[in-house]
Amino acid sequence: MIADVSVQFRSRCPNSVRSCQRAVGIVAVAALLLASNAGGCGSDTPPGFLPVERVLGETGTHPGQFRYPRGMDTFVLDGRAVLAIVDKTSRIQLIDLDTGNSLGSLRTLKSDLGMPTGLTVAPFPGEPSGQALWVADTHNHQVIVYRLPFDHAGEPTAPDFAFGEYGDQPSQFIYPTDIAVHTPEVGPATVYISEYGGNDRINVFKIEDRSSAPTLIFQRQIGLSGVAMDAPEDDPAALARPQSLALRNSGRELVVVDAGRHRLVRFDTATGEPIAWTFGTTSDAGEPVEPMRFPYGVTLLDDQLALVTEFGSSSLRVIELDTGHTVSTHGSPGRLEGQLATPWVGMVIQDELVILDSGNDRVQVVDWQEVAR
Amino acid sequence: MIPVSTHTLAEVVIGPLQFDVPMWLWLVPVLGVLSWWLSRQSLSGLGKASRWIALSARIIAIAMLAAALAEPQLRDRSDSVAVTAVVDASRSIPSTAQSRIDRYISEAQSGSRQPQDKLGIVTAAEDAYVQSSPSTFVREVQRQSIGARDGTNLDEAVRLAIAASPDDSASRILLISDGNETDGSLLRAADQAKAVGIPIDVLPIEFEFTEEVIVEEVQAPAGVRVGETVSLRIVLTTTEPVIGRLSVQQNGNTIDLDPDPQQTGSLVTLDAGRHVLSVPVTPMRPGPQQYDAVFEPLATIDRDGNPGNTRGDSVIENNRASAITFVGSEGSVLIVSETIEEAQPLEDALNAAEIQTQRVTSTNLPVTLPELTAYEAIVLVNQSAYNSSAQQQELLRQYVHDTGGGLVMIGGPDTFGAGGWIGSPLADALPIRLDPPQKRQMPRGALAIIVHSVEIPRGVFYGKEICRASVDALSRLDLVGIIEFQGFGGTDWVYPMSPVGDRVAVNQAINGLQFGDMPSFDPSLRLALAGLQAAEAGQKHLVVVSDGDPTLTRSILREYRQSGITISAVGVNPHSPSDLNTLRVMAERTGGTYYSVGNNALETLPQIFVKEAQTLRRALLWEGEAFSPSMTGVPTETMRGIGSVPPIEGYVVAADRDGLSLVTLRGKEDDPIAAQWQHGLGRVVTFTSDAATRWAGAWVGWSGFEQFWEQHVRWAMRPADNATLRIVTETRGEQTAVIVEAFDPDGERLDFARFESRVATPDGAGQAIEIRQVGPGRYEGVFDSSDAGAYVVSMRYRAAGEQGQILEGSAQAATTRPYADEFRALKTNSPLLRQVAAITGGRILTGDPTQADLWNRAELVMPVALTPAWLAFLIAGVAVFLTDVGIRRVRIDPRAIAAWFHRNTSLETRGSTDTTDAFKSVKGRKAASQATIEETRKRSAKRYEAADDRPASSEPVALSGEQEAASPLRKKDRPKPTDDDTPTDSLSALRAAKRRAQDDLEDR
Repeated sequence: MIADVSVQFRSRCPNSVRSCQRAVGIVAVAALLLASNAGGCGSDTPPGFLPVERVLGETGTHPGQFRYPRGMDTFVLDGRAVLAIVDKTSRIQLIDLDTGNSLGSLRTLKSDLGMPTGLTVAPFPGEPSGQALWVADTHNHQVIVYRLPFDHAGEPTAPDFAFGEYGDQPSQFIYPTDIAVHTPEVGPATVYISEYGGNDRINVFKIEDRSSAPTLIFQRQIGLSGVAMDAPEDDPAALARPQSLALRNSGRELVVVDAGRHRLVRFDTATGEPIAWTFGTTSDAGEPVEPMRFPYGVTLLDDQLALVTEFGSSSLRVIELDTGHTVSTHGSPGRLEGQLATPWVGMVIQDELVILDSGNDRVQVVDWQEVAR
Repeated sequence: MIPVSTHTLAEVVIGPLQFDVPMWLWLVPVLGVLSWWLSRQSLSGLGKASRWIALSARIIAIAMLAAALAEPQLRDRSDSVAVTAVVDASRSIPSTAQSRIDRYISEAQSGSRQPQDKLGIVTAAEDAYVQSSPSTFVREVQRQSIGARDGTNLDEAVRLAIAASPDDSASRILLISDGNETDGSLLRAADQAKAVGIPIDVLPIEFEFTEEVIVEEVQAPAGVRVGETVSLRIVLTTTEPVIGRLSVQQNGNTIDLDPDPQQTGSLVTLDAGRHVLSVPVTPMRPGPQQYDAVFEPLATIDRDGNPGNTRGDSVIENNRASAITFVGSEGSVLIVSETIEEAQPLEDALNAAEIQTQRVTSTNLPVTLPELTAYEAIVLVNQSAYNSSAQQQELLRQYVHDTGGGLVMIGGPDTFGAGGWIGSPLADALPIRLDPPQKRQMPRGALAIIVHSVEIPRGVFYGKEICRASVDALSRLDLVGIIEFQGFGGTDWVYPMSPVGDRVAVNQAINGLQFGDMPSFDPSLRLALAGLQAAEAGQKHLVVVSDGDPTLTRSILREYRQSGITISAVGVNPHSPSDLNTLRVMAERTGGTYYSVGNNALETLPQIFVKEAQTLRRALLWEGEAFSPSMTGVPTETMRGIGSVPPIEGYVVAADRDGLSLVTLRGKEDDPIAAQWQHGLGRVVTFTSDAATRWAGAWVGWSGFEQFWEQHVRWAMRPADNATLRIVTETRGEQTAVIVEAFDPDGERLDFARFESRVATPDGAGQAIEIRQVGPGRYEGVFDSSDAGAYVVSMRYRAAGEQGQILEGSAQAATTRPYADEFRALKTNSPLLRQVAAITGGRILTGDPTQADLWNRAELVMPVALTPAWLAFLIAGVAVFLTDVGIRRVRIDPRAIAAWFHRNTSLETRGSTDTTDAFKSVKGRKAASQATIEETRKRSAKRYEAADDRPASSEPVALSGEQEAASPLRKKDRPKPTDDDTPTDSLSALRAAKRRAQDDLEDR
């Protein structure tokens, strides 16, 4: 049909008119293409921006708002995914992942010295079936535990379980940052607690249920008390602000992001020795990649892939744990929707990438399928 | 020439479209008719149906193009309403009422609020603050920081609420107040709200103090003599008959007014109304005397004269008033010196010249202006700026400029530019510039600053204050650099290491500082190290302020020590002893100083930085072979009779004020040694060498030493009176009148005197007072005194005496406003609130929150978002035009279409076959290379950056452990509401992307 049309044009118009008509046609087609693009055909996400599905929260201290949130984990409540988020007002809020509504909140009892920075959902100590929120109460040198769910209205609330004291001796804490709990089918659970401030290490405890009161028994220390305490910088176990933990291979391996030295380290939980570490400077294809900058959060996508949240570069990256290669990087710094500012942690929940965008006082929920493409 | 706007018609709205320049729409009928007329000829060759279709298309195309020219906009009308509650949080609102206000707002939301509606909170007290920006999240009142509550500025609060109103919602303001304002004008703010279409609903907080006692004022003569008995007049107002106890204090000491040895206050019975009580007092020592009168109500009195059951008072803050009177004495001079040795020769010389002196250290320097004005002059001997707070420095400036006191600043190694006074409030009062002269080549210092203030209360504020104080204390030749951990996680110079210069650029950089949450000191320390190493400076120094919790790699400190760069660390609000240790180590290992500052001493932070910057300023000291300063020969009172001066061995380098001041002695390269000028009402002398044996040993034994210092100090002192002034201050609403009666030495009224007068105000700003003659020997001036606090009035006068001689002198007076007008209101100002509602179209609400209907939409203009749509119209017009062309030019041949369709279908089949083959080929290649891929993975694993010498690498668990079933609970193995445990699809996609990358690598 197109060919036929051109034949008819050629048969009835002089050359000058034909070229004029051709120009009009080109302009019109270009304009239509432009219009179709402007109308939304193709991707809506600008380059460098994450494909955000929704944004939860904004700056403030009212329910559903955040003031520099620094810790996040998730659990299921009545079939809904719920986020537990702690911010710099020492407020822990339970946020509906779908709506962003606050389902309850409490304040930690002590906040004059500083606020918590790490949250982990795990069974309550001594109750493998009881869901609880473990809080790294960083600046009060302790770990506190609240049973989940709670429906408080923001009032200061005493924890249901607390342990830890200030000090640099084994089992003591300076600034705990994160907690990982391994609960085997048989036997006591193991608790890993990372910390910094001089004790840049991971303390390992076993939970023992003694006469109905659970007790944490110190097992060992993983990592040296890092370069901040004059440990040799070339020692792979010398940590500097281990900020986040994840367990791999049925708890046989501990994945640590060592923020101060900009790397991810894998430890053998049986021996406490480092297995390997990576700065993420090589891609799958062998190409050089920008190194990690202050990795603050690590969560596992599966036993092979770790999602690392970089505070220092306001982005995330996927790292293949076996090779240490960077599989992909995501996000860029900025204030707009789809950009990040000093994020602390990201995780994938129900095919959605949920990022605690701390510097922007919000949570961004991203289409993980599109990111993965 | 008159400008002509193309927008000759107002916009036209048609459905969801708005045309901003609708005149172009006239093209549609005009060109439509023209097209129809022309089509009778041009389209005659077409069939009837084709002709009408072509004509219609042409007219539609014209309509589209005309619409595009008419600037069409798509209208998106918002239906949300934002209510900003302005809550009066001043002290006139009882605390019980504050909780009722909070409850009212919480309960009022169950009424008309829709899910998309917003609520914001602004508080009004002395200043207005946004507590919560309008948001759908806000459902209650949360008070963050209210500020001082001794005043009510409803004007500012309403303006703030207007500014905070969102653009995408219609807005209302809810004003909850008693309507008693002490600053600004609520009516002006209401006019502004009306102008922007925001109605103000008012909820009056009703109250009336039926029982109240107010001490209105205390009146005392401005000046008296020692031992003279004067009468204090205490003015009180009571709303009910009351009995109470009146007590009077002199400089904080209670005067016994009651013969009962158990009581000091006088029992007084007052009827309802205004009363003036007199209390005789006899000041026995010179200087300013403050009298405070306090009335303590005990009980009301009923009609029978018996005590009632109530106290007769509701607000206790307004039961006190004060007055200050100056008790005359011989002029005395205050010498401020840290050591006796530095001040003794000077003190001896002044005492020998019969000038009374009093010597104190800087810690005992008076902290109020009335106390300072007790002295005729103040002599600062080798005083560092670090010894006095910024507030004290400002008081000294006011003492000179506004009260006419004299200032003599004498040198030493810790003062002038070397003492951190550059950029201080007092620097402007000195007759020399403290920066080194432009012509001087001097060694300079380099200072880098790292501020990590995120955990400090008001951290950004103090961070900026610190940087400003540091920069101000440096000379313009010094180098300064500021490092910030920025909002997106990077560390960088916000002001690269460069000369301070005129401070404009560096202050701009400081204004933009944000101070992110620094996780590690290392990047900042490395950046500062590189900057300082590259700096061409004699002394290099880094100052770090932090709570101490960022990580520190201690090996960096070795590099600092090796480079000769010192670090001073300031620990603010540390979380633990460990943090202190980090900062202490930083200072100790590099030879710097460690400071610990608690949250209650944050205001001292800038002073610490002044001291730190001072360490770089030693270069401003000149010390060397003794020489005699050259006399400039300027005829001044200070150098009268002095022909030459002995040698000095050192001084602080400073610069001239380019002729604005008088320099009487000069040193090396014409540096000013002695200089003087008049600053405001006062006089200032600087002497950059010292008055003791360190630099001026030859002077101490010099015969002219006493004469030199007597003449300089006497010149700076306030002039002695040779007339008599009686000064009275009188409060008139928010103003105070100064009434002066002047007499010459013969007791005759003094006319035609010229006064120069200023008042030092509580906010430190000061203001000039115009004093005019209003009668024989009587003069009057008025100044604003609306703020609570002390006002010190100072004046110099000059007049011709009876015999033609010049009479001149100075005098002071003071008045106080003991409490804010906030506490003078006795009932709700309902008329003002009603007027505000009427002006803006708002409502007067009752106290029932269920009836409030705060988000009422009636008469609100809902905002409309406009999106330009001209491009869509243009494209549609072009498309229709092409349709028109097609109708006229293209003849559709069904057979040709069928043939074309047949051909293309065949091509697609072939292409599909080809694609399938290609896919199979790729799969074949991938299958063939599977072993190679696995090999590649293993090689990749070996490239993993494990330590080769770690035993772990040879352990069984090694790099890639065997795959096992998932653990019962794995940290951050996220639970899901569905049975699907992993995001399989996305991970498959990630892995596919990874495999593709490996294939590409393999292919290469």
